[in-house]
Amino acid sequence: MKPLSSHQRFVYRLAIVIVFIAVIPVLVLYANGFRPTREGFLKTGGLYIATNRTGADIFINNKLVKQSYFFKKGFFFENQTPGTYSLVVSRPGYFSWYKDLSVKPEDVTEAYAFLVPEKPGLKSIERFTPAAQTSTGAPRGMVETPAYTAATSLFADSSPVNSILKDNNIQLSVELKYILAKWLGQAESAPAQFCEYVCTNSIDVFEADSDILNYSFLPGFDAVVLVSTKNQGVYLAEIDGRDHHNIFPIYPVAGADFRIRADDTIIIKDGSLFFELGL
Amino acid sequence: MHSYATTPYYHVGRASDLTGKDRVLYRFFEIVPGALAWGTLIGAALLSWLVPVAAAYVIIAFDLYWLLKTVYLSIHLRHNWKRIKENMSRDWGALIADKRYDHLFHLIILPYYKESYETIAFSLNALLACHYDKKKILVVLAAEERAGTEAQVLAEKARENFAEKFGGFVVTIHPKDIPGDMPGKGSNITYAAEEARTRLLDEKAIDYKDVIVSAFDIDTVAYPGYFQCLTWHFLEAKDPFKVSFQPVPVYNNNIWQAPSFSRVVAVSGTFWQMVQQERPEKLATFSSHAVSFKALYEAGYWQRNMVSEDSRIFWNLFLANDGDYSVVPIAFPVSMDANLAKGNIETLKNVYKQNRRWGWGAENIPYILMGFVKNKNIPLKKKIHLSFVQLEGFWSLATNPLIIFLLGWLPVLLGGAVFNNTVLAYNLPVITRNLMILAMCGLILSSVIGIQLLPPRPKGISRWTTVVMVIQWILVPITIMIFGAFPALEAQTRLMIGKYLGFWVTPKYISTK
Repeated sequence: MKPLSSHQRFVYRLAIVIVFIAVIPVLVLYANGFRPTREGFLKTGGLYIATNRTGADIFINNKLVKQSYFFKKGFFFENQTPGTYSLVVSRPGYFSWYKDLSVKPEDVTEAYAFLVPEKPGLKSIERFTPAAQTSTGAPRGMVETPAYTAATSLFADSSPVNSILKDNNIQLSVELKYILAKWLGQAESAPAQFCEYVCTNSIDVFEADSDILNYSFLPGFDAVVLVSTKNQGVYLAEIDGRDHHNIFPIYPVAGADFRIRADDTIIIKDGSLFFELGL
Repeated sequence: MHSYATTPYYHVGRASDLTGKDRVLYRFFEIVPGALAWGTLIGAALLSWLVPVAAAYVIIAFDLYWLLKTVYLSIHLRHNWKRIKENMSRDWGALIADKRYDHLFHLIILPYYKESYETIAFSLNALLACHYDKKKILVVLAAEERAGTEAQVLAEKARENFAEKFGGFVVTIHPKDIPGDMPGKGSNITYAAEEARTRLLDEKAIDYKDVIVSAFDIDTVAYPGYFQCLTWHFLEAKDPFKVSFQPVPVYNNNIWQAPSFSRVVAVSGTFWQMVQQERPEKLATFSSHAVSFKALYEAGYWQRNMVSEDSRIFWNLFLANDGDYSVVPIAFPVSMDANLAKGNIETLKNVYKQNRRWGWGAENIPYILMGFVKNKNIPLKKKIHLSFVQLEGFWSLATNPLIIFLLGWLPVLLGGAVFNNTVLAYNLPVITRNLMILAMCGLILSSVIGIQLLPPRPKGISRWTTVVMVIQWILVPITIMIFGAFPALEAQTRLMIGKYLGFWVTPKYISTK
């Protein structure tokens, strides 16, 4: 048996060159979102939806398309014809998240669906605990718990509503009764939530009907804001200028306020009651 | 042989061996492989950062090229496997029976350092088991003085036990202090070859034209039909003094005992040689090879001052013959040891070092380019073709796995927000992944051939190991980077900055399993 002849190898090489030349334009067009239709090639776009929850159903134009699971909470939906899409992300026991997103040719429109439980976990911080027993075992009355003392001291600070918060080039500030988010980076690299049809460097995050007591980025998230007002209590608002603007009640009790502990735990204050918030 | 063999460039090991403009030119050529590799990697990163869309197109094109190249090479691999099977089953004795070959001698050089007697005896016994008149086989057991007296004692023991069984048997002890000698296989076998010339060939008045030299490693085991097959190819060659003969190195001696990553690297090396056997114009001699003593003697034997003497001897002869020299791929295996040390970590280090040594074969690039500049008798077309083949080969080894498995993500990482919001950015990793999955389907073929290459499973090795032999191929994306690209890149970088590598002897460890 002889080695492959130079003729055989030439034929193989030629075939491979032909395949390469034929396939590469197809791949490049495909990669850019071009899809064949009866009318010719259509430039499609895409949607990327991520959520913070497993088991969340993702609907596009009222059609269930995906469900998030432990290993995958973000999904890319390609081949989307340019236009506006109605999205819903829902999970039983959580507020549904709604958004209308426009898809442009060759671009991917991103959104983050932060799902908030309808009944957020509230762990009461007990105020008193029995004092240590005496050597004879006789009770010595009640004393304030260190956790309660620490929570109290958190709220002893003056209200931070005049401060400016910044995270990942997004700055939060209060103007009148509005919480505004400003994009501090370059205009062309503004995140998707600052862009609807055109990108803007400032969007309204929350409109308060009374004095704003506090506001802050939700720890670990630069697109979600926790806010408390005098009359409305504690709410969670997304930093996203696109319709719908999702705002969820966390502790909607007038006068309720919040602080964030050094370990990123959120403490809710309602009068003399304190709670650790679980989202 | 052309007068090129008498020029100062002929046995140059590195730039510092030359002077003046030649030294500058050679040094420049030493920089070329590393500069190409780093230029590619840095260029890919810059392109991904500055023009991510263009980088994405380049990566997609490269992925497709890689897939098609895999298909193309698989065709070669499959064809060579068929040829090996046919050659292994052929009755070479019958084929050479009607030819005149009793004037031919095989001179087998077995260099060793501190390997055990068992390793030496194993290879010598394999020679005895070969279907060839043992009186026509001359053995040179080439010891190193620097290995100490213990190694010389082993040589004496081997001489006592084997000398009478061959047509000639000499033990040579390569002195440790010969000026210009780099410690390693090249200097040892060159010393051994010259000793064999005076002590065996001249003594027995054997014509140099009638001697075929096999430069083996001490663990090289010849299969029974090997010397008959080699003899047939020698006799069939149009001009046997203008060709070298290359068997296929398989690593079957201890393949069942070696860990999976070592096996995958070893068998991948075999596969690469099998592919090269089907495109001899790209083939240079590698590891165990054969060449006529006449050509070898006229070339001054192997170079004593560099690491990759196995491939360099081909280029020595190629330049000395003005390009009229080639390699005959004989599609017949010889077996050697896969890397195996006392523990997996040690084995891992050894596999890396061995591949770095092979990657150091890039030291041939400046030699070849310099030779092409200086030797005006080689056709220009041949010079351009071979320069491209050699540069592309070493460039591919050092960069392609990194481009495929790592740099494909760079446009997404460095391209910025605008690029990352495009369909192209989202599709790039998906397309890369899918093309790679298709390319990995070739591993099924590798797995099938790999299994058929195996020797019978020894007693004491579980059946599960056979299953592992199949699924181990999923390690390829890792081994191709850790034991392919990284050591090659290190070797080329060292050559580029002048931190030259010395010879590293692969330790031979015999498992008791």
